[in-house]
Amino acid sequence: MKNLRLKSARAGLDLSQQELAEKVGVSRQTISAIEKGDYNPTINLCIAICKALGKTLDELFWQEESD
Amino acid sequence: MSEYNAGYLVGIIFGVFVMCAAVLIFLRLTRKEHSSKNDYDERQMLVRGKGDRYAFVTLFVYNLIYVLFGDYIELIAVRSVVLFMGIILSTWVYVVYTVWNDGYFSLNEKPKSWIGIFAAIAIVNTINGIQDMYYYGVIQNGVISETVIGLMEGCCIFFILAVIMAKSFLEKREGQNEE
Repeated sequence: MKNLRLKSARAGLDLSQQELAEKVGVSRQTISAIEKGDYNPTINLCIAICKALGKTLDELFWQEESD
Repeated sequence: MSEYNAGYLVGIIFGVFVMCAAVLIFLRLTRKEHSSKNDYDERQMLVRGKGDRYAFVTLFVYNLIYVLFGDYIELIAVRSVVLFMGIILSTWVYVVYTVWNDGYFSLNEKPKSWIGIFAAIAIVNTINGIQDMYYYGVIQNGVISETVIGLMEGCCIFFILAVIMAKSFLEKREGQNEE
């Protein structure tokens, strides 16, 4: 399932995938895979992404029924 | 120690020294940062693990086929060629899978720097292979001989090179679309 909330939070800070990847210490392809829903990150990476984007885990990664 | 042996020893030491220097220069050229160790992220580690598994299974199945049909296979090619082909095949599976899934190059390596190096290795192996085949012949005692190994290596590396280039092209396009 695509993670559109992550994509919009990143775009909201005007960050490219590459810039976010460098902030959290992963490859651009990993960020792309998370946004596309092709890869489920570990909790450590989720936390690192949340900190980099100034969001909570719930805001970025909690899946509602309607999602 | 005779003069010949001393010269031989000096040659080996010099060769090792040159190789070490070449490796250090190569590592410096292919890395984005001057880090001595390869860093892979968690997804890349998973991809590499899967690649290892696929390569292992490939080699296992290949060897199983060889165990079952070795007598017939050796009517076509000598044992060293058949066994070497298994190694080439499993290496190819590992490299192609990890390159295609972005797990082959670490975070501090530049894939583009590797294209030239892979091309050089492929060309050297292919030329060597063709020379061997030309001078010693492909068929010896009625079966394919070891002279084809160089060409096999060359072809394998050319395939890998093609995959790296295709992946780099797709990566560039995806990067542009993402912006």
